Amino acid sequence: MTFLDQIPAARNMPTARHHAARRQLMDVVDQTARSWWRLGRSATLALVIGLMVTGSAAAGVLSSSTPTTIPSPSASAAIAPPPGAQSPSGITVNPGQPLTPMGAPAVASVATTACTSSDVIATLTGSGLYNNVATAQEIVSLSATSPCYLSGYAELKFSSESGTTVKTTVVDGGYVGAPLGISKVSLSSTNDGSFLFQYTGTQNGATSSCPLETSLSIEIPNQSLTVNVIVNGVSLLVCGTVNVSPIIQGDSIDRYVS
Amino acid sequence: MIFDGESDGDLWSQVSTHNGAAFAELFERHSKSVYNHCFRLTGSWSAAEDLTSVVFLQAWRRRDQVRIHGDSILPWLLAVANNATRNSERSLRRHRLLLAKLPRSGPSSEFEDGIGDRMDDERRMQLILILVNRLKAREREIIALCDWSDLSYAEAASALNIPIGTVRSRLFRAREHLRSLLDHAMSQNSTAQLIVLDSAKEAHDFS
Repeated sequence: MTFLDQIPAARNMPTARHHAARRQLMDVVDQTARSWWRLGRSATLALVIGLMVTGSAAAGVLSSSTPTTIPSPSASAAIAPPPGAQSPSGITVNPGQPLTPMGAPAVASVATTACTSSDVIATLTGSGLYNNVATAQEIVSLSATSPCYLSGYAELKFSSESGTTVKTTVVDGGYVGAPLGISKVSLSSTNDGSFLFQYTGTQNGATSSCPLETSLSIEIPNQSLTVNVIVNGVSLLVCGTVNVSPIIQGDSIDRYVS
Repeated sequence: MIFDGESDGDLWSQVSTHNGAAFAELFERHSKSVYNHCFRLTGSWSAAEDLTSVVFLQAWRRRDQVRIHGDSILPWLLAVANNATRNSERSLRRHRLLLAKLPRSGPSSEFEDGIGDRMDDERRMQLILILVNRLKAREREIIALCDWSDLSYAEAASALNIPIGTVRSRLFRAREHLRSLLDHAMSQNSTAQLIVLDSAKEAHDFS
């Protein structure tokens, strides 16, 4: 018998775990499909609006106070740009881009419009435990259907399955990891932002009295913005104090590691 | 939806257009291989379960970027598993809480799958990994792909994105290196002997 013959024989994954893993994957797949549909619809509208504005400017009839009319969906196909089309004229790129923080993704230009509730898509993505102690971290990824910015801290509102709001105390800052400052974070369909929130006591039974929360919404107080977070089927056990980071550019957990 | 007769390439093309049913079929076809590959790299069935989910989640997220070559997507999945295992702390940190919220298998399914046998597997694999982990990472990976997961040279070359000739030479060197480590360990009455003694004892216990 050789050394390599000692390798244990292949096994099937335990049935329940196999089904659970498959179910989780399908939840993510379904959620992605819905997000893509929303992004595709919004991107089409944004493209149509952008082309209309550009066309109007070229004709010299653009007025900043003129409300934009959204054409019917059937009209959008007719004015789709040809393959290889260049960006509309009138967009300037600042050659001297400001330096981004270490590890932060580069953003071509900072958006000048504050995000509204209808712009932002928030998704619960990363999660984990800090040093295997009973402190859980979650990352909420942020993107937007049209370029805009967010700044500051998010206020979180957790709701149980019955729709009851779970009482929590949200503390700005104070989370474990790299200290991060407040800045304007540009969001679009290709530029992500995120924030991290952290709470204690999910793994050791200390929160057994916490209700199971199945939905989460965020509010950015100084921007009058409220968004429901896509939680990807994840339930949370949060009660007591929640520490949140400021909103930052990028959504990798590495951005939060000191 | 029935996918009988459709190749992995056909299914992956459908996955690229966000077809979840095609992705589920690929999971059914290859999750066992990925699961066992992860186990052989970590020595833990539990970690292998989590890493299998990580691998398929990454596959789904990269569905627009990856074009598979050949008939099977398995080589690429195992390459993703190599990377996920190498960065397992980072990978699992991002997914652990999400995965921890999955329903765990109940006692009946654990017994059904032989929890005692699995513990024996882990003990033996961890002894083996004490020795194998002294190899360079690229040597470990080539042995895991070719000797443990039975990929062909061409499939391993595809998985690692290296020429077939490099696969052959790297595998040869890895086996030689492992053999020398084994000889050294045996001469020092260490891990390798423990493994041999362990299997001899097991054979005696069951005889």
